[in-house]
Amino acid sequence: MKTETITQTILTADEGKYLTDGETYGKTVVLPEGADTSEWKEVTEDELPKEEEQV
Amino acid sequence: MSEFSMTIPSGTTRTFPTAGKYCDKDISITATGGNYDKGVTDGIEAGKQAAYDAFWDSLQQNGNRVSYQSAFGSGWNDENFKPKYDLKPNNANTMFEYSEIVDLKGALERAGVTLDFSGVTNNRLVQMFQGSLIQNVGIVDVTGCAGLASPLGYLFMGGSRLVNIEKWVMTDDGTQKFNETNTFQGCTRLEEIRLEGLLGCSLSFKDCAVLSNASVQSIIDHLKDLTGATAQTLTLHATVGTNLSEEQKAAITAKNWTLVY
Repeated sequence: MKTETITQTILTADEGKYLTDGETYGKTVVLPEGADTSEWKEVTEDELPKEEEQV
Repeated sequence: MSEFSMTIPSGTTRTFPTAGKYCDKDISITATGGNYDKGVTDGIEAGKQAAYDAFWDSLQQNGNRVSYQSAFGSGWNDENFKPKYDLKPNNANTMFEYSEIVDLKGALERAGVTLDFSGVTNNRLVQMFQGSLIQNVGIVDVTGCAGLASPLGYLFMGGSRLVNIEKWVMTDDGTQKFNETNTFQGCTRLEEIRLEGLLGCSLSFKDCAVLSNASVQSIIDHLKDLTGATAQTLTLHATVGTNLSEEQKAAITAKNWTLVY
């Protein structure tokens, strides 16, 4: 029998806000144990990174 | 006495109005048996084959063509896309951009040829399916673009009709770099994808709102274990991420990946 304990940090944006690290964004961020959470900031939709134009 | 000859299709009757001229009745001639019809049919089929061969021998340079940039765009569809030779491009930039082919995988199977992207070099796999009607793609092997300093970008970008990617093949060491945001940008109808090799860089499936759980499981199974290395990020559409099991989320973070949805 194998037993594993997985520790996660889950960041959830407040209503109407998103979490972004400057590259990607979402409502929920699930981080592995020990990950640096400081790079994730809560922003409004207007402040999200702009998507790249199609070539 | 004059003579004349003519060919009458088998089973048909020709009537020559002669009454009052040479005799009191019209002359009717009925042809029976013979191989005229078969000859016509065989000739037409041979002509079609000759035209097909001439066209595709030229287009595919007798099987030697390797640059297929923008080769099968607008105007190409499931009926007229019938390659004669296997396609093994070294340049597949915009190869099917704005193509009207729907079932690419099926069309290749019907033609009895293969499409092998593994020979493409220098990241020349930009926007292959941009704006096309293609729903069903077979194997997309990008291992030929391994080891390059710049990330491979725009691979499936703009493939808004893509539903099924049978297999996306990467190298086994997970060192290939793909552009995080534009690789699957616009793939809003993608349901099924299976990976082979290892994914070792951040990647976003944010636009893939109907990506199946089985597809996500394939992605999870092929995430490179980054324990002890710099964490990377897997981004999913909010709905897709919400439907992940706790085990799937744990499997992602156990490999030192960050999950965003």
